[in-house]
Amino acid sequence: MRKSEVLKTRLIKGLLYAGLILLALLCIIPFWMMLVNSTRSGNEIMTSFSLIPCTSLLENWKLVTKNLNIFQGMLNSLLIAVCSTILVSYFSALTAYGLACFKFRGNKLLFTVMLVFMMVPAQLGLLGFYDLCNALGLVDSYIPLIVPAIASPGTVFFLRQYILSVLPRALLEAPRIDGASELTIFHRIVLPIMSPGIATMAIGAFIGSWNAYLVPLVLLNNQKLFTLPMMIASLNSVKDISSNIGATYLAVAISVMPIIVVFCFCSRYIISSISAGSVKE
Amino acid sequence: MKRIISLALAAVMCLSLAACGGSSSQAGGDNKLVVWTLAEDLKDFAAYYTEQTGVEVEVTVIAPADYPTKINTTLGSRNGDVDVIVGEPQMLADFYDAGFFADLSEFDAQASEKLVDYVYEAGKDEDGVLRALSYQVTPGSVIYRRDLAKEVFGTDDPAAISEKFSTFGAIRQTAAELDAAGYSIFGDTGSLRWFANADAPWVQDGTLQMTDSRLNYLDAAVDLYQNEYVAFAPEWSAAWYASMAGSLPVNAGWAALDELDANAPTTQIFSYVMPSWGAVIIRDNAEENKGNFGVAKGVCSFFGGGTFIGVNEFSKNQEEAKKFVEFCTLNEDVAQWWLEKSDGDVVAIESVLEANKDYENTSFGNQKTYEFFANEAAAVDYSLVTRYDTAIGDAFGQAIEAVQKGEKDKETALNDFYQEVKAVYPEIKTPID
Repeated sequence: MRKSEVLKTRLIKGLLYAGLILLALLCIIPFWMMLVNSTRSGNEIMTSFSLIPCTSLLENWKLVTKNLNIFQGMLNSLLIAVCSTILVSYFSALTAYGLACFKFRGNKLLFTVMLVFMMVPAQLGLLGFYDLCNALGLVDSYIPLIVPAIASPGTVFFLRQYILSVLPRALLEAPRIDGASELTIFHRIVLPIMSPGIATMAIGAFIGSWNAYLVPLVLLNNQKLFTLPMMIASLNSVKDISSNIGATYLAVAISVMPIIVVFCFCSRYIISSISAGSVKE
Repeated sequence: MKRIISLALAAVMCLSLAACGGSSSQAGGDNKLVVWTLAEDLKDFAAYYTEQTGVEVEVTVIAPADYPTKINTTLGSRNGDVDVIVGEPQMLADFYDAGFFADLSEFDAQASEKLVDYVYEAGKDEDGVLRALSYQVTPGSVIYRRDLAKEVFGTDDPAAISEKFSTFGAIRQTAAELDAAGYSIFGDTGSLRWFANADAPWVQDGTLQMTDSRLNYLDAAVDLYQNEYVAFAPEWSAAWYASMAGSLPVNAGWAALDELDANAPTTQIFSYVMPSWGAVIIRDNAEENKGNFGVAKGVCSFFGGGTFIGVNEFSKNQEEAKKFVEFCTLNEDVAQWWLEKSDGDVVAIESVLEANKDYENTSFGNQKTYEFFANEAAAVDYSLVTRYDTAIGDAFGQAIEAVQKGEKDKETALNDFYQEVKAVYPEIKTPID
């Protein structure tokens, strides 16, 4: 009896594990194939299927470096992504703190306006945005790709809700009594408490900026300033498409690396922020 | 914390200012030409131009799919940062309408004398003003396997094969003969689409032209599909690439049908219908079949793709830009240089094609390919090309697919096709009006 029960739980566990492993494989295989394909020649990719790395990595690498300056692209993308992530994190947190913890006239109205702007897709404003940048002489520079990150209603919305759930009002009253200025309170007390939430949004912002394609495409003219996604897309223009496929895979694989690195550093925060919210309430 | 943040912000400011400073100094150099292109070719041209004239040329390559977005947005704001812009044939009409391409009338006489007719025609806007020129022609052909031709038809002579592809009726006959020998005529029926403009433009005097030839095209496509005369390997698919080097398995879904014919688990594709750049793709993927191909004429002469170069209407450096366009497209020495450098591109200057017509191409069974492509390019009738071709051609292709698969009968499919054309272009009269 007991033996059969043990067997039964083992069987169920085994089935569950098998199912989970299958799902995990489903998630991993596309990534793995991308990595494998980056080591195969275009012809091999076109004509066959393989999960074992092949030998064309060096040729693909030569093709990539011959056609584009991938490190320059990476540096460009990194500069834009890091700067805009810093801006988005700091200013969104500041705004969210203001909206969540201060009572002033128009607070609700401001918040509603932000919600409305959250619904408008960024692509809609592209033409007008370009005209504006053109008039201000900002075309072909990184300023219009970085500075607008200061205003990101989605992040503000998330952080406002986050503050409301994690920040007790008493924490603000104590330093106020001690005579700390409002900015000091924000920097010394609110920011550290919010950091898990900010980290979560920062990852999203970083990935969004890293992968951004349309706006940089329209705003940047000089090949030296191109971001990584633009460089990879321009690989398509090289005449012999079939031989470029391996190279394109390699370029994409390289471009995904920083995101994986960022995720490795910040995943701790994501998980802790999600669980922090659930335990406290 | 405060210090860290203020440091970070200061860093941001410095970096973005640095980026800004860099770009403004680049815009400052007055003699430098800026080229936005969708084909890498112009990089080679630019390097050669710099070598010959000493003028610095900065080339920016933009992914072809996004090129119109980029041009429409930036030139829509009358941006003068770019001097030389390009376009593929299907984009040109819209670019001309928008006024992005500057007037190149000063080259009109030269261009009409030197260039292949259709290139000259494609370079003119609706009012006949020359606005773009090309360094290459992209005439189409039926690229066929010489060994299979000898086996099935007893000859691999291009003239004889051209005969086999001269009408849609002949193609159906040829397909049946090839099928009897165990080969497939095309990768799939999409190959026939290049012959859609055999006798009339899609739209003439505001009316959609559903000619007999187009109905024959539909019938031929359905015939080839339903009798399984094609290999069901669509263009650009893995199997399609593989077929250039040898045999390919018949589509697994059809294996059961083939059980009667036990010794034919694989098939070989006899021919590919493609513009001249397709011949280069086939050559580069042919492996041991290299030298085993020939080029022949199809139902009609056609062209596909090609890069046209023009000058930005709003450029501050138009004179220099025009010199660059002239250098790339109207200079015989440059054309000869490009013909050799590109290894397979067919140039647009007639006299250069004439000079190379005796060249025997070893990749194509020593056929005189330049002579062939020069004749085909000269035979292209540009008046058959309209700005509606891409959209209407795609819609017609979908109608054909529906009939092929038995989803609709011919009449319903045609009706639906007319409706769709009507919906996209209300100004076009269709047979159902």
